[in-house]
Amino acid sequence: MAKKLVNKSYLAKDFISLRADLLNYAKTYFSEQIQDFSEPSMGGLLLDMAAYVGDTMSFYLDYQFKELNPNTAIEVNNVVNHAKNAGVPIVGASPAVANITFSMEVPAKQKENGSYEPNPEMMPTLKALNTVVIASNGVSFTLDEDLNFAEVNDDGILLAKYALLTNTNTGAPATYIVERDARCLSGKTVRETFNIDNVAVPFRKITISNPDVSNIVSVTDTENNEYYEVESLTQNVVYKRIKNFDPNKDTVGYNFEIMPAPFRFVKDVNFNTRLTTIQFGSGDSTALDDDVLPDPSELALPLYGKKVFTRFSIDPNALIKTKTLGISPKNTSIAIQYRYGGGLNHNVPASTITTVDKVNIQFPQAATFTNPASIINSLSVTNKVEAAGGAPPLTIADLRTQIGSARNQQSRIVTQQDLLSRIYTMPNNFGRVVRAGLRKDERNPLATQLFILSQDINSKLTFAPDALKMNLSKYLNEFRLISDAIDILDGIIINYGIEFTVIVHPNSNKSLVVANAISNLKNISKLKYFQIDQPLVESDIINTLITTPGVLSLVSLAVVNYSGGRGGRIYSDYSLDISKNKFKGFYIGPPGSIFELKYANTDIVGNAE
Amino acid sequence: MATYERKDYNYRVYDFKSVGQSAEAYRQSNRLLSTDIVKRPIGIKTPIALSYGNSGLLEMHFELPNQIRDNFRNLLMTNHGERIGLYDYGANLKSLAFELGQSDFDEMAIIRIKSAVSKYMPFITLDTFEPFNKKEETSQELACVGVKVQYGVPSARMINQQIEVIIWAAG
Repeated sequence: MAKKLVNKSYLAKDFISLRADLLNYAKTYFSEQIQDFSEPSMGGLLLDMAAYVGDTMSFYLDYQFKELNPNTAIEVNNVVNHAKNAGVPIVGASPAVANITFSMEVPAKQKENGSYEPNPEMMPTLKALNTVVIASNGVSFTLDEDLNFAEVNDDGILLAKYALLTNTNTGAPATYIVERDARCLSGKTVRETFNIDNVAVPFRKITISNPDVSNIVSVTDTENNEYYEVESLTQNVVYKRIKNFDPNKDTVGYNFEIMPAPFRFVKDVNFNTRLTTIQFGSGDSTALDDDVLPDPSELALPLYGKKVFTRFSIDPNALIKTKTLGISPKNTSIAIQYRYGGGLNHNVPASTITTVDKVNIQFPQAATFTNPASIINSLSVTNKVEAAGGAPPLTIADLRTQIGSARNQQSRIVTQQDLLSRIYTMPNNFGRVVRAGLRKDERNPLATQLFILSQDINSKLTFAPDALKMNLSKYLNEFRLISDAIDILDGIIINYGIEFTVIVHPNSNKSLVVANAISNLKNISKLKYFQIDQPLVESDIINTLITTPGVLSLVSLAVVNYSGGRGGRIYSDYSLDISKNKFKGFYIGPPGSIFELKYANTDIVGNAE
Repeated sequence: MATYERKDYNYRVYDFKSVGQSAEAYRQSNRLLSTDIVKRPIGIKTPIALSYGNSGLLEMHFELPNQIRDNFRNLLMTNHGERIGLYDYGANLKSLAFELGQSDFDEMAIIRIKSAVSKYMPFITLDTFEPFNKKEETSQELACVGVKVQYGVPSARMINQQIEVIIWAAG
């Protein structure tokens, strides 16, 4: 039967326009049956009800459409889901970070050369997590990493500061006050245990009882299996940091290890309750069918009853996935150690963290005590600067703001910006890259040359140690495309100096004008303004000099290269005739190079006429 | 129907003067004209009831005064918020029932009726307002008050129409 065509309009959206359309429709098609559609009539009532239904549906259509956009969504759960989809982590109140000075009284010891220093055998290590200090407002701060008072640098010099406290009757040093700074995080660290019954429950969930969990320190079961936190259960490897004992340990504190993580979990924070739930995988370690570690050979497609097969699509992640997505614990007890708490009141002012709540001290095995309690009791703490970083829980507005930027995040390196972002965001424990530059490798079209540089203890540029390069290599390898090659190379440091002569206004003090000119040049020559492969602009130097008050004209200007040793100062070994590498006002270095004014106080020489 | 063919073009031309009616159509039109005026239904009668006559599915009004009276009664008996989509529809007299016995009851009722009529039935001319008590229906727990309104609809040549509504109230 042919469909009956009716003149319908779909333009009406609100009550008034829908009612007008319905009225027009009724008058057109039902005028013989009913004529009165005025508001007081029953016909008008029926029109109103139909228009009301249409208006309500239209409203919810608009409402649902708005809920699809995080910027216009109103319902909290929808905004939270948008945030999760975009990769924004839902967190509760954030803890504050405080740089706390731990000090204690340590007996003196005479060295072989006759001088005295704090006895390293009497200087303990404060153990992380079990050392807690309290601010005057009651907020707890927990030591983040072990603090060894006896730690020395590559030259065997104590990293701790110390000062003579008391002398013996003979006038020899008796005790020293020793102090070291350490990072402490606010919040309480607790251990919570959950008994797991003997039933295999895929993707088992456990909800931690305290809100605002800022860090899950460890998750272990009674068999001492350690469960690692991953971003998603398909991730089956984690990075593990290993203490670096090489001579370059000052620069690179830890080395990377990539290790399989069959015992793993993801965490999810409820936006409303701020309670954290951890979820395990679906695998049963006792079942033979479940591969804890994937075997790629098992991915081959069976060709049952067929002699041909077509092209098929495949998810490359399938090669690293297992069917289990990690082990789901059963018939065990899960112990979760975590830190919780945070907020603005955790940003305590300076000198308010003065109480030691509890401390876990470990003395060297070689220690010979006469009165260890006196050392322990002498421990005192203070914070020289205020704690910072404490923040209230995210609001809906915060989530909306973060969604936009989070959409640009990705876990692969595709562009040069991706690569640089990855390098600069590598945790500092594995070494810090202060400058990185990229160039295409002219010999290999698929390769990129990555020039990196680190800083020494005096914040001067230096070559990155090999351990840092190894860590960087392992780190980048997890994110790079398989066909990409990245050559990690040392950057070239070009140390330079500036020599200038200016004519100073007769009414001005020549020395003062030159000093001001040098000061201005120092400011524009700071390392923060320079990147690898960035040329040195002569016009910037000239502009800085002639705009210095009192300078009438610039007589001469020379940018010179300093290399090797010079007046007791040690420069980069790279030598470059800077004046010959000037092109249209730019001093251009070789590929992968960076200009550094290393000793600003001596490398700028100015004269006034 | 007279047609002729033009020689220079290959199609026909019709003359409207020769267009008439078919025999059946002529009979139908004559039959309709010969009967009395057919009254078409105006609106649905309230309370709604199924029709067993010739008005279709529901009982309908066929006379304009009846339809207006029905609508006016519904207007008087409806309170604000009861009509979906039109919050202020109705005379909203029920809330006055709780103020029964107060001196300004009459004044308030008149104002509300006039306001509702001027907005939703402006063609009605209100003449008189007369409150009354139906003592035989008034119990100790539940009181009621009656409102008698005399009105007219000049455009429909209706005069001296009268309508009564009873408002029940808590005692």
